[in-house]
Amino acid sequence: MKKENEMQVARAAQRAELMPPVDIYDEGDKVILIADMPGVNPEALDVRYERGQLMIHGRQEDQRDDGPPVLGEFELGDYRRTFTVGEDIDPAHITAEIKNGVLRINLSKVEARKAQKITVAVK
Amino acid sequence: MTRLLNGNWNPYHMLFKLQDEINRVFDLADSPRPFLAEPGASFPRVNVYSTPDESVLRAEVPGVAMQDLDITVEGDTLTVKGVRKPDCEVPPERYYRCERGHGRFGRSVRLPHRVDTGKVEATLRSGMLEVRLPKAPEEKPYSIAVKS
Repeated sequence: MKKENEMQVARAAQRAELMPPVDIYDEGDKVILIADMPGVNPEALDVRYERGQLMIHGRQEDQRDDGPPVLGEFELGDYRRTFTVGEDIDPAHITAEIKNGVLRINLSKVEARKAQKITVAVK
Repeated sequence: MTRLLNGNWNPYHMLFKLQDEINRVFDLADSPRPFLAEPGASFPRVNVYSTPDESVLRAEVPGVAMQDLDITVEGDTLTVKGVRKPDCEVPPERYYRCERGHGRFGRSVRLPHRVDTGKVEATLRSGMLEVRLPKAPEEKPYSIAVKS
């Protein structure tokens, strides 16, 4: 049992820290952040906002052991990246979803929500 | 830029080469939408594992649908081709960051053995492609009966 724990610790220590490449663009009333995180399932994804910082963390799924590598270009690990979020973003309305290893985060702007409220009031 | 001033080696050559490399990096950073098939780009990144019975290829293909992937095996060479579609068409001035890229890509990998092409299996899960490639029967080790 003890040996098993040690092995788990050793395996955890081997995992790489990975920085996912991102696209960030402005859609007018919201900002979209897209990150490549292949091998990360929805349950292994953690997106959190804290004091102006948006943190994304995704753990790549372990793969079954298929013998010794004959070609190795990537290693499995944990994707991590932190972004500073501007004051025009409404932290209460950040949504995230991951599909086909691509994370998509919608960051709604505060002004857009205010503008929407005014429109409703006029009606 | 003249790389070779007089056709022979000169000490500035390495400097010019370095300058070219630096320019290339900045050109990449400036381009609004990097294309995956650009020289030097290696998309998708692949790992290949090998056991006595088969080889397994894993490739990172985030955002690529199965119908946009084309996997072919010929002899001992596996080729993965495909296209990654852009998420949406946004003008470059609206981008704050653009690191992912889209477009056509293709990789060929030579395996340590010939493949039993009828038994190749490919699965795609969470942007990770897995192709299982059993060895061709003539490549598998077999034991020889020794007559006493």
